[in-house]
Amino acid sequence: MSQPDAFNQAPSSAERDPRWARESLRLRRRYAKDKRFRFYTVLALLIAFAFLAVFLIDLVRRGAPALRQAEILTEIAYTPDTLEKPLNAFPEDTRDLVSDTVRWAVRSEVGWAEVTARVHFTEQVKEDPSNAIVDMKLTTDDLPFLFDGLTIPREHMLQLIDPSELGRLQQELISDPSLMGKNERVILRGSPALQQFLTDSTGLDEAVVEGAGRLDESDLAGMRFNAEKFGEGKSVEQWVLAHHDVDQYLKGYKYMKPESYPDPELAPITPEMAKRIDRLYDEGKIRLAFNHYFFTNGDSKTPETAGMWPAIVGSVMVLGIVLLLCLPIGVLTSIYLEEFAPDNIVTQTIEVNINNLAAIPSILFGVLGLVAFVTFGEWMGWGNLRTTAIVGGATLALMTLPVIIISTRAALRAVPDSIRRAGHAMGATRWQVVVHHVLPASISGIMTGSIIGLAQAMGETAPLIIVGLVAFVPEAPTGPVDPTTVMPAQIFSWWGMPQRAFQERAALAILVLLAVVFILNAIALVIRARSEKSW
Amino acid sequence: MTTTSDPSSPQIISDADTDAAQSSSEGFSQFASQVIERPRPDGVATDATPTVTFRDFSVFYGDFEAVKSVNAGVANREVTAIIGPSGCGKSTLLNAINRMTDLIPGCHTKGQCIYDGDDVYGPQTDVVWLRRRIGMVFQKPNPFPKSIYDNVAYGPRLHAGTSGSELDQIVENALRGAALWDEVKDRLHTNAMGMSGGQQQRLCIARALSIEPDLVLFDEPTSALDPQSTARIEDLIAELRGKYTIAIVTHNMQQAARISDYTMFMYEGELVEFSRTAELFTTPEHERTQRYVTGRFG
Repeated sequence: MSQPDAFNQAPSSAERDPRWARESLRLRRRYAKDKRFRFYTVLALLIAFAFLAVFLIDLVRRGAPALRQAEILTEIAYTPDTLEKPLNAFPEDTRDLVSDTVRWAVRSEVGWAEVTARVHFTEQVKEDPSNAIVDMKLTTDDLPFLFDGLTIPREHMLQLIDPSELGRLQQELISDPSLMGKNERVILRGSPALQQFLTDSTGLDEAVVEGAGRLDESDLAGMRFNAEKFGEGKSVEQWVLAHHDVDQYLKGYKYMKPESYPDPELAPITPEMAKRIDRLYDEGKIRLAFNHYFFTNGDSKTPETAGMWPAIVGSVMVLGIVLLLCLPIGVLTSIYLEEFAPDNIVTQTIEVNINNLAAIPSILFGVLGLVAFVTFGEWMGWGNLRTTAIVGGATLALMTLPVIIISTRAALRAVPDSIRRAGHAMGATRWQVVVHHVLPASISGIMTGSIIGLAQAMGETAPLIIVGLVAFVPEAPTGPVDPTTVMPAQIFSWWGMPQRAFQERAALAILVLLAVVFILNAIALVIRARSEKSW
Repeated sequence: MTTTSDPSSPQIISDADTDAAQSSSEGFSQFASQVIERPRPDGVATDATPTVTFRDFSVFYGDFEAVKSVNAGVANREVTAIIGPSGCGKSTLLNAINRMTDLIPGCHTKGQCIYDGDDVYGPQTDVVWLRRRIGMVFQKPNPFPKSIYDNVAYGPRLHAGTSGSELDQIVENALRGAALWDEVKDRLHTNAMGMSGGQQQRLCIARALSIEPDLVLFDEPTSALDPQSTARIEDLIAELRGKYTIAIVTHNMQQAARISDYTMFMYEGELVEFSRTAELFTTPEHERTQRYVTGRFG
């Protein structure tokens, strides 16, 4: 309501003429009420925007630090000594500041595991090389204190041997038939699992651990220095990822400062470490560099190497599956219900149920997905489909289908009947009227509704929790039956991690997710605006 | 129902003639002066079978009888107008000819509606084929939301699969037939919705003509248009007469008088009178007709 301001003053003629006195007072009050009401609406808008602004600002504040990551310039010594004590690869002043991942990487670079196994060349070896490995008997010669001896079954031995060695043995037998029948102990390259076991005692199944441990004790298994690559020993200087505690300290978080702890000496960053870090920073040996790992890596146990790339790929893949399932089924169902279904009790029941489906809490779809796809899939012999993109996609498709059906019906209804009648009068069959005239005219409405439904599906977490997509997924999926996760699930699992460095990554992931959803909605807006039709 | 006079040239019936024919002293129909008598089209015999024959034809919406037992016909290659007050069933009757009433749930018929020798509502009738042979133009212009070219080309493409230069020729002929070619020949591929109402209606006529129908049905084609567009379309219909059989529903009595050869007057679902336009407007048989055409009601 825009009246010239003169009107907002009660007209002076009203004040002069006593007949209008009562009404002019009321008129003034009415204008005042108007003004107040307008003010309230603007206030409401401002409050809503304030919430949005606070949310976004807080998110950016939390997530922006994750764009950078602490790196440290250090010498790494690859020597036989490193094999024994991997920590010694680093000089004293950087040893406790580098990321655990760097230490592990050094360990696997500096050498490899070796294991002595008993090999028996038989005819069967030519078909399947694993037949060459036979049970390994340890005697008191190997281990003086082993009174009863120990036999390690070949199945366990096979877990300790690198698979490439089996092929090599097979080739040896084929090229040198004189080996046939030989039964002796051979030193073979160890498997990655053995290597991990030898370095940090993990990586092997419990059953195998005893045997591997005995082999280690008796020096029949051990790490060997990679002399080919490092000769006598080599030392390199390079930038490596710093430990996430260092990263958090450098970014200035209060919780990482030693002073925040009741006993600073027991803090993750002690005062001495803090001084050292500051010194190295001033010397330029520690820096905050762009965190490219965030966009290239997958989930990781260490926050510094954690990234959301598999989550992004997983989201796109799941969304693609949702699209593939929802659009055809949803649009065709809508067409049938809107154009062809007779108006009887059956059709009405279907309509009521579809509307109800759209209102069901999303987590229930997760249970449905679990039963329908995972359990049914196992029963049908498709293997365990939990955590796969196809199950996530199918579950979300169930959830999005009612939304698409409802919005498509609205789009179809918006097409004026006159167009259908013109089509019929021209001699088009019922399906031709729909396909030639109604569908093309309603495409923009269908697309807008679909994109909005998909944008919603992109942010769903609850149903995917049940179906298992909230799992530790370090690698991006290559196909629909690979284990995968989606962005909101990744955010959810990172937020719950003990290391606080994951919090800032979760915040940044939220920003990425928001950006994607905004883009999808913007596309929907543009499509709708550009194809506004005037009938 | 057959013509009694067969003038070689159109003539306007003068007021003097009408005066003498009045049975009531309540005045005469001012529309009578608008009636134009046209010669029978070439090649149509005097007792030729009408294109459409209604025999005790009724149309029901559920239990409501919207058209009550009509006995009439639409003459070959002449214009038959159906007039009457709102709600008298004239649109229903027209829509029943090409079975557009099938699209209305609960609509059924009794009696016969014979088109081209077959009962339109017989069990053997192919509705799609029927509608292909009968063109329809609606009250509110409803071109498809496509280009002008695609609108006119739709019918030939759909039914004959025509394409290429043959299709171009058909489109041009249809647009010429609808007196629209000169106005749109430079913008054939622009959106049809961008035209004025009158142009859109002529486009709908061109669209209907594109597949060479035998019969064209006009359902109040000019009631949504301005007088100038109305006049152009009336001229167009007069031109089409002789080549196409035309049935037109109108509540504009001037229009009926000017362009039609036969007129049906309907009232509350019943066919009150059906005769040559000249006679209906000058010497109507029934009093109700008389009162309607003199503007007493409706």
